[in-house]
Amino acid sequence: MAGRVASLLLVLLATATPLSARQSDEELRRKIDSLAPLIVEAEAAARAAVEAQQMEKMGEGAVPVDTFGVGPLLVVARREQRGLATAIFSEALESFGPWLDESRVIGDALVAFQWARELVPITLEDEHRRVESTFFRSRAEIVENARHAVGSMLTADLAGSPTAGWFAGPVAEPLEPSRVYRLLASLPAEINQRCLGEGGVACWTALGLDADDWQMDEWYSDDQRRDFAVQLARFFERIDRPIPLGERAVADCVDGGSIAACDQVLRQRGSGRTYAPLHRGDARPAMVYLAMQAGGDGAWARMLQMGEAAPGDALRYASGLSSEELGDLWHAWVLAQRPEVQAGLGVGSLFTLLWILAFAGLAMRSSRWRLG
Amino acid sequence: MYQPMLALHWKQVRFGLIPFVVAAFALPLLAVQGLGSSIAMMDADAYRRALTFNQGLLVFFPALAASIGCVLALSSWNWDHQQKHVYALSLPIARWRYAALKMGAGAVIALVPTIAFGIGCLAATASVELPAGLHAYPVQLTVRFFLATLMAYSILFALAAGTMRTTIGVFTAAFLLLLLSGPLNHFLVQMDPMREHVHVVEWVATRIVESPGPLQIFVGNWSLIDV
Amino acid sequence: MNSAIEITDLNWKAGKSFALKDVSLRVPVGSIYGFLGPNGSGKTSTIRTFMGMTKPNSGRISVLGMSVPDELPRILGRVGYVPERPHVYPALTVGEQVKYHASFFKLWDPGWANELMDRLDVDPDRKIARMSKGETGKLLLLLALSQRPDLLVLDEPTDGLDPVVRRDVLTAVLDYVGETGATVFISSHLVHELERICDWVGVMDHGELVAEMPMHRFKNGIKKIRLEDAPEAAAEAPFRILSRSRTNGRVASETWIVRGWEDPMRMYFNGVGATVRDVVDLDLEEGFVELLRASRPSNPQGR
Repeated sequence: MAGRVASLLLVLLATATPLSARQSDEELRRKIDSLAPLIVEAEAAARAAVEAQQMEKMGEGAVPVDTFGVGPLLVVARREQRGLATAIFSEALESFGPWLDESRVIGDALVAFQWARELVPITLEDEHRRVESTFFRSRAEIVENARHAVGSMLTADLAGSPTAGWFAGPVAEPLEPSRVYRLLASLPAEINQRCLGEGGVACWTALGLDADDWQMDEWYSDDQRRDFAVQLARFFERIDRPIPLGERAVADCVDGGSIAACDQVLRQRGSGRTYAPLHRGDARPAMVYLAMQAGGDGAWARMLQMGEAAPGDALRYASGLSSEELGDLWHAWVLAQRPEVQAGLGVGSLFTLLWILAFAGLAMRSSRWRLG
Repeated sequence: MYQPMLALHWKQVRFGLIPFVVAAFALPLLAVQGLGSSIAMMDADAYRRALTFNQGLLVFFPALAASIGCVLALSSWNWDHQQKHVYALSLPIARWRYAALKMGAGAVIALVPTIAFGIGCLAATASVELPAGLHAYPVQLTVRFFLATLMAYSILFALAAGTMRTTIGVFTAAFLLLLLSGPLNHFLVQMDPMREHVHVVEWVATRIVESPGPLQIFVGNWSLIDV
Repeated sequence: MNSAIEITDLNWKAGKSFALKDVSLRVPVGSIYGFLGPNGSGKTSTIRTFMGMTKPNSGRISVLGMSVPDELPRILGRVGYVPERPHVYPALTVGEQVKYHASFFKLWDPGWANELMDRLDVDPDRKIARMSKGETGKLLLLLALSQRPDLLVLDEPTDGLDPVVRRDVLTAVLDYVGETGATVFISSHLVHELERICDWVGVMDHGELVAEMPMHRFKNGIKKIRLEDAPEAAAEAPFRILSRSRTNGRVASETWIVRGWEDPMRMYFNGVGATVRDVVDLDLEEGFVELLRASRPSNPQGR
């Protein structure tokens, strides 16, 4: 699927080329990004149609199927697997608040659920509706995947909105939340370190939720920005292409070390999205999920009302919290996700020592009767 | 008795250990290559690339510890096996004491590559400038490396200390588990299709590699630099 | 304690092809006990069993008055052992091997070890991996003697050694015995070698002890007798007939090999109408060969 989406994006990029003369890179990129959820939605819809068709065929082939509701979801499954499907999706839906009922996409979706083979347990593979596997998974994993699949379906509600362009991922608690902590702690952006220590507005800014278009000077220190600009200039030099950054600004930045000149160089490359510290992984989707949970009843409906609003405004309105409160909420959540640093000496090492002693004990039982 | 035993084992293994000592010193240094002298100055993508490279090399840490453990254990019993233990059995010492002395000697020799690894870790962490959110764990990782080496060493040592019959027994049991896991699994799935960790081999493997299993030290996070 | 080694009804089975069967032997304290037998007869297996290296299926073993395997560490601390094949560590030098070995023995005598090193011409700096078979043999003896053992167990100690080294080794053993009165248990298939030094002899064949006696009896008791008009049956003979064969095709002229012969037994032949032409002493080797021939099941006169 990723390959097909990539091909579609390439086609879109090709057709967008004439526009590039009139529009900035940033605008073009935002437009392309806003198309991605649409493509995902289209793909999902197509797949659902194929699967529904297959289910119908199964029905024709004397395999009875049932269509039934599990919370806001409409699920189709083989009759004898109805109980199983109900249990899996009920468990998956527990982590969402009442706001899930407000989703348009969820209300319209048909979720197919089936065994791959008679003796193979069901796995929700992929994000939306794919429900088969040829290898074994634990029940907990299947439920997790189902939860994520529902979270992914929610994004289709926001397709084309600035908020959807800002976060790309399921509206659910991440499968591996510790990755978000690692991302926050390990990236060198100055704002990350401030967020880690202070929370609040610093985290709001680190997540790129400030309305300002230019946030590089809030994210990175002068030295870091200067370094980026120099790297950029050297990149163009290396590939032997004319530098589209303004010769003078480059010279002032690289040779003169002027931070203002360096910022000018970076500004000419757009708002600095490339350098946005927390635009990857599940950092932003986690914030949306947390905001929805905080907003409770009606949160998703308010989110949908703010369709064309900036992501920060939409989140504030939907959750009913201020930027600082949302930043603190996310900060508290991310701190709780700090992974155990296993390089340290913990209980595991104690067990290892015990095992070593146990194997040493076995070795002591070495028999002397070994000849013959 | 212990000192001559230590000297004997050292003499038998020292040349074989040289590449491992070199690797133990060099690997931590290699793992921070690309992180540069100043991580704080790197942009997100460059940092990600470097860290990915770093993470990729991390699998070699436990692999190296396991290899050293194997080399020590096998070298420990090699000559005894070749001579069918005749010399060892003619010595006026209880068999368990002999095995204990031998094991103790190998455990002390394991400190040599561990020290090399520790020096490598300290040198590696001294060569990079970390952002505030990251920390280096050279001492902890070295302790972990030593424990992993001892773990592999003790397993192999215990196996090598046994008779051929014991070894065949252990491997036969493992083989039978693999052989019978298919039919057994088929049966279990029929009994309860949604059971946790349904596959028997997976269940056994999980018990072994997850805490408090014996191989848990080898899996998980081996990062020299971590949050 | 009258016996340095006492084995009673020892049975041990190795796979399908070989077994020690009801072996009972007794090595008097202070004796030099020659343990003879062809290759594969069970000499090494017997040694390994009373040294506590193999577990017998049945039987009782005591060495130096202590029970095997219950008191093995104490026993082995007083036993010097030279195995059939060299077992020392090739990675070590002679000096290192000696140091390693010494650390296990309370009675180790470093002065004596140095003296032996000089006497046997063993270089302490020489690496074992580079030593010849003769040099290794001398080192093994050095290790066994330097621990001042009460019992010296030598399993084919001179096998494959040149005559000079063989003489050095045996001389060192005899010197030690002369000095300390220790018991020596020495196995060999080289019969003539033991003839000169042993005062007791045990003979193994096919996992059985076929003879055990003082050397003088062994040497003197086996005779070759040439007879005329030999009787068909000799069930009443006061000696054991190991073999009999016809001579020159004449039915009445035969050569008998007998065991337990004493001169007054000539009377027996007078009684059965036979004439003794000749009584010839067999040397140990001939006696050994005849003994083995007689002990094997194919020989109708055998045991």
